[in-house]
This record gives sequence, structure tokens and C-alpha cells, in this order.
Amino acid sequence: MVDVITIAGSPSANSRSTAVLEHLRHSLEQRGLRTWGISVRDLPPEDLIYGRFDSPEVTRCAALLNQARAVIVATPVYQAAYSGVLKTLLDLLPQQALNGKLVLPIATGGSLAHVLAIDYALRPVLATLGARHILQGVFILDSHVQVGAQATSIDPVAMQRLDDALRSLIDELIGAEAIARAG
Amino acid sequence: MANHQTALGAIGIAGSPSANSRSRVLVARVLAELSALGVEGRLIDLVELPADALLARRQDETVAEAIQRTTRAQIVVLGTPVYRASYAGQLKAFLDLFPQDALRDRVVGLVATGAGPIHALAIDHGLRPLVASLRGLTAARAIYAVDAQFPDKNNLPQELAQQARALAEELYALASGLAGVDRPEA
Repeated sequence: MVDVITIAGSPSANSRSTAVLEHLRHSLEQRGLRTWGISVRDLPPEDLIYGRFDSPEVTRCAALLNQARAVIVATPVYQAAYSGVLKTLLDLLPQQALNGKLVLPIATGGSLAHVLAIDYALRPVLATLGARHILQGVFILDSHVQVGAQATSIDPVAMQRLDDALRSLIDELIGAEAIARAG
Repeated sequence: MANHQTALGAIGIAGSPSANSRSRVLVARVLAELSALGVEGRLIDLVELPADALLARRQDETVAEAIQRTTRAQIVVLGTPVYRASYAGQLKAFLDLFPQDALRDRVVGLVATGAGPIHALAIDHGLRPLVASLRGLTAARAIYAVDAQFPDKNNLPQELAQQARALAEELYALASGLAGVDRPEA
């Protein structure tokens, strides 16, 4: 049983967005939540490019996602939007894959000019997938994340914003669970 | 009248993972109409490119060549099915590999197909901004075709054929205009 699934949408090896996501996942684990990480980099390229929604790997992702109550999606901003690689995975998930789930969008980019990529590009796609509630996204500047061999270093102000977002996510999860139990 | 030194060239990109998709048929038709106007065109099927290279896991010559051909063409026609209210990931993955401002001074035609009318705005809200981020100029006309309009992929309905011709003519006019004007050095 998984509480939170993270989806890393970057195609690159030393991705900042993936590193930020890993930091979030680690924080969630430390607070006692059960998490599972999906990375587009780990999925067979043929599955993603040839639209193999019924492949073992993709159906496994879909099944894991189905269990989760919350999803954190992270992407670098490419061409003012989410990465194409991330989209290939989202295209293969069941139509209502995010139905009933809480979603937190995270993006990293080179300049503040890209901040709106979350709300203009990523949010609509997440909504189409049926997300119950898409939290306010967090955009982190590339210059505020340093991916090292052993650890990732994140600018303190950015770190605070990420922690705030996590707190909102956890509060909502607990709130939803309480309502479910009472109902 | 524009007096361009070089002949206009066109590249069509079929972004669908399906072998013979409706969006591909439409892109091919637009290229055919451009050909009738004297524009030499070529269709690139993204699914024929190496999957791992499209996903940026390794460099590949055929992908590099596809990018070069596209950025060198004066006219680019992009075709995609609408998935999750937006362009297909395959198309986006390909365009993610392009250098900054790669479509500057290029004219781009947009073609999308969807299950129903509710996704029509995927063109203006999804595809246009994507081309704009690469500094391309999109033709005002775009083609959005619903599956029901086009039941037999081998038989393009008259209405869509007309739209393809109109788009080709607009692309030709825009590209000729860009080619014929002396631009100041950027």
C-alpha cells in the first residue's frame, strides 16, 4: 500500500527536478508516509514511444498509481512546458489515472520567465487525468539546485517553499483520511 | 511579388505512435498541396526514429538529421493526435531536442486530430505556444479533425481536403513573404 507516488519527468541523468523530487520523497518517508518513485528514465523507450499502454512496466506504474492517495509530478521546463518524455508516460496512463488523488506539480527551469509553465501547461494535463485537487505548484530555479554525487543542495528559500508545499500535501491527506473515516 | 533566391522546402512531422494515423494522412495531404505549389516536401514519422534517442538517452545520427532537416525547411507542418488534452508526448520529445529559437523565420502549420470536439483548443492552447517557444510563426489556420469526420483513413473527406489546401496556400504565402523580405541583421 502506497501513500504517495512521485513521478520524475526528466530525461536527463543529473536532473535537478528529479533531485528535488527525491528530496521530497525522502522528507515524506521521514514523516512516516509510504512512497514509491517512478522515473520516466527507467521505463523502456519502446513502451513510451510506441504507445504500449499494456506493457508490463506501464501497467505496473498504472497499478501503483492507482493505490496512491497523492502524486507529486516533477519536470524540467522545456519549450515553456513539461518535458515530452513525461508526456509520453502520462499519455499511456488510464484516462482517469489521477481520479480522486491529490497532486503536487513541481518544475525546475532556467529563469522566472518559465514559472507559468506549471499553470498553463502542466496543470491542464493533470486536470484532464482527473486529479481531485491540484495543489499550488512549486517552481525552482536551476541556479537554486546543485546536484552533487552524494547529495543535492537546495537554496534555503526554495527549500522552505518545498517544505510548505509538503506540509499542505500532508495536511490535505490527513484531512481527507479523517473525512473518509468519519463518513 | 516576392522574389526569393532559394526554393521553399517543407517538412511534415507525423507525431502519432500509430503507423497510419489520421494526423499523418492530413500532414501528408498538406505536403501534397504544397508540392502542387512548387514546394518540395518530406514527411518524417517520429516512430521510425530510434526510440531511445527520441527520449534523449543517447545521440543518434538519424535523429540529428531529422532535426536539421526540420530546422532548415522554410515550412514545417506538425501533426499530432490529441492525448490528455494536448499534443502527443512523442512530438514534444522530438521538439525538446531542438536548440533554442530553432524555428525562427520558419512558418508552421498545425494539424491535430481528436476523438471529439471538446479537445479543439489543444491547438491554440497547446501547439501554438509550443511553436512560439521555438520562435516559429504559426499559420492562423489550423486543422482540427474529429475521428467521426474521417472514418476511413484512406478516404479524406472533401471538407478536410479543402482545409488542407487552404492551409498549404497560407503557409506558402507566409513563407514566400518571409523569404522575399530583406531582413535587418538580428
